[in-house]
Parts: sequence; C-alpha cells; structure tokens
Amino acid sequence: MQQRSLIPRMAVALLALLGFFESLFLTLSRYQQQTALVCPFGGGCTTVQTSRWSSIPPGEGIPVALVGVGGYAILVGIALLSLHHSRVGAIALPPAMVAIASAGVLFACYLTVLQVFVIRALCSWCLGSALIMLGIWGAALRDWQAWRQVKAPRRQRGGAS
Amino acid sequence: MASRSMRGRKVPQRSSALRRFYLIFALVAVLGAILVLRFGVRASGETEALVETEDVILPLHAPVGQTPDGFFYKGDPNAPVKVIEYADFQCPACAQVFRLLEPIIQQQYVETGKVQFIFHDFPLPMHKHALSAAAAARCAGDQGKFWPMHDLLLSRQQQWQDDDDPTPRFRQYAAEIGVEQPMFDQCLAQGAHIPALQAAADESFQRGITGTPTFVVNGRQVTATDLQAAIEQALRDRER
Repeated sequence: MQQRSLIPRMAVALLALLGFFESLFLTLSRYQQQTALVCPFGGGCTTVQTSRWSSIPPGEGIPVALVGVGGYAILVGIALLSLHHSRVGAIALPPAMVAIASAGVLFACYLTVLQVFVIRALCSWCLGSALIMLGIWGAALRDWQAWRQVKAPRRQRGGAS
Repeated sequence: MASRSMRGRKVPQRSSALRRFYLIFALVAVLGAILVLRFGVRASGETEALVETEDVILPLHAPVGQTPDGFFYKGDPNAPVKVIEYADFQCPACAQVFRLLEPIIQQQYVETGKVQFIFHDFPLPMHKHALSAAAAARCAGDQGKFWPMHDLLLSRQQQWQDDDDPTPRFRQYAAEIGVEQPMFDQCLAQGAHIPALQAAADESFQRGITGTPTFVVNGRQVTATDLQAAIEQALRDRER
C-alpha cells in the first residue's frame, strides 16, 4: 500500500509549535503591560502591539496574539493527530489542516495590510508569525495533495472490484 | 514480493522517523517553554525594580506652556524642530520611552533650545484609567505643574494602573509636587478637561495615529526607535 510522506505533517507540527510560542510570548507581553516590546528587527512592535488594531474587535476585544495562540495550538494538535490517523470521526484531517492554515494565512494578510497601510509601522514578530503561517499552509497543501493522490487509486480499486 | 519487502523495510523506517521527530518536537517544546518563561515573565520583575528605584521628575529649565489648542509643551516655541508625542499615560511603552528616551531628548534637545516638545494626549479606550490620568495631569497643569505630574504618572504607572480607583494616588502625587489640593480635587470632580481630552483622542484617530507612543517630527511621523535620528535629520535640514 502506498503511504504519503510524513515530512509535510511533521513540518506543520514543528512550525505551528514555533508559532504557538511566539504568540504566547506576545500575549504575555501584552497582558503584563510591563514594558515596550523589543523588536528583533526594526522598531514598530510597540506601536503595533499597543494600537487599537491589536485586538478583535479593534479597541477592547480579544488580543490578536491570543487568537494566534489558539490557532497554532489547534494546528499543532491536528498535525500530531494526522501523523497517525487520516480521519477523526467524519473529519478528514488533511483538508481540515489546509482549511485552518488557509484561514490563518488570510488573517495574517489582513494583519500585514493593517500594519502597512493603517498603523504604518511594521512589527517583525507579527511578520515572522505571518511567514510561519505561510510555511504551514505550504506544507499542509502538499500533504493534502499527497493524501488525495493516495486516496484516488484506492477509489479506483474500490470501483473496479 | 518486492512490494512486501519494501513494505517490510518502510514500516521500521517510518517508526524510527517518528521517534526522531517526537524527540525534536519535545526538544523544541522544552526550549520554547524555557524561552517564553525567561523573556515573557522576566520583564515583570525588572520593571517593578525600575519603578521602585527610578522615581523620576526630570529637571526642567526650558520654557513651558500650552499650545493654542491646549496641549502642554516644553522647550522654546520658536525652536527649529517641533516634536509632537501622541501618548497615553497608561500605555506601558509610553512609560518605557519616558524612562529611557525622554531624559536624553530633554537634556540634548529641549534644554538646548533645539526642540519644542508637545505632549498630545491620546487616551486609548483599551486603558481604563488613561482618561482620568490625563485629566489629573491637566488639572495639575492648571496650577503650572503639568510636567512634574506627567513625569510622576509615567514613572509610577505600575502603582496606579491596576487600582479600581486611582484618584487617591493622583491626589497624593499632586500633593507631592505642591499642587493645591482643593482646586485639584474640584477640577477632577468636575471633569473639567474630559471633553477636551476626548476630542484630542478623536483628533488623533482622525490623523491616522493608531498607536502610542507615536511621534511627529516637523510633520514626519516616526516611532520611538527612530525619534532621535529623525530629530537629528530635521536639525540638519534646517541648517541647510
């Protein structure tokens, strides 16, 4: 029986774990409200982190970083599960992973557009998270394609018998 | 036969690959947790130490006053460079900038007549005491004590930001800098400056300022990191 490669799923799990810790750090930094956020590159992190757009809905909602913690935690869980199972109940894990990663990429695009055109400051932590999400999306897409290819011959065999 | 032998080899390969992966995953998880605990929580202790040791009122000898639209300034009104700081007294980054950057700006540029530094209130709705702190600063400003109150509010931000009602602390700060209490109390109770502060926040949003602190140096918007370089550039531009 043909088996799809584990590497894309492993990549999703590891990247999502990195994203999880990065978002956790940003969330802690925001809730503690102790200090200016140090940017690894450039200097717009505090401006972005203290702007009204750093929460959903803007102003007094849930911090964007906390949304990231939840999103990445879900991705870590699905990626680890998918190393051993293709489905959980009625849910096929590879398309679910692509769907969540796509939502994550769209959200990251929205946040990047806000930084460039509305806040007019770039936060390298946030851009790093967007790149991580893009990597997750690429790996999830690759795994989904491999899953479809593995599934297709099985269907054909099932149809012939 | 070939497929069977291939299958026979692949299964152990996959399980050893999984073992290696889980080892790396566990290492990354432990390392990530250590880094987050180290850097995410470390800030708390350090800042508390700063608050306890650095109770700052910056010495100020430059001219002070209010702009026609009511914002407090320090420095020569005819200085070649005008810096407007959009800030919120409860914003942690504003307090950090006050501790680390403002002494340099004040000493090198404000006191030397190169910069007029205007504090543009921008109380953010996400900070529950930002508006009342800004009002306290302005009430002290009515008695000529805006800047000492500004300095105390920012350097002691940790003390009052989590209070249910920070007014008693504001009164205590006002007393420390020699503000006359009955007038100060009356000013706070009447909310005399609240409409102007809310208008200042609305105006900041309309100008596209979305975070604090944001600086405008001779019309050019910059972040705290680029402030000093922007002032130097503006001074060079004026010399030409």
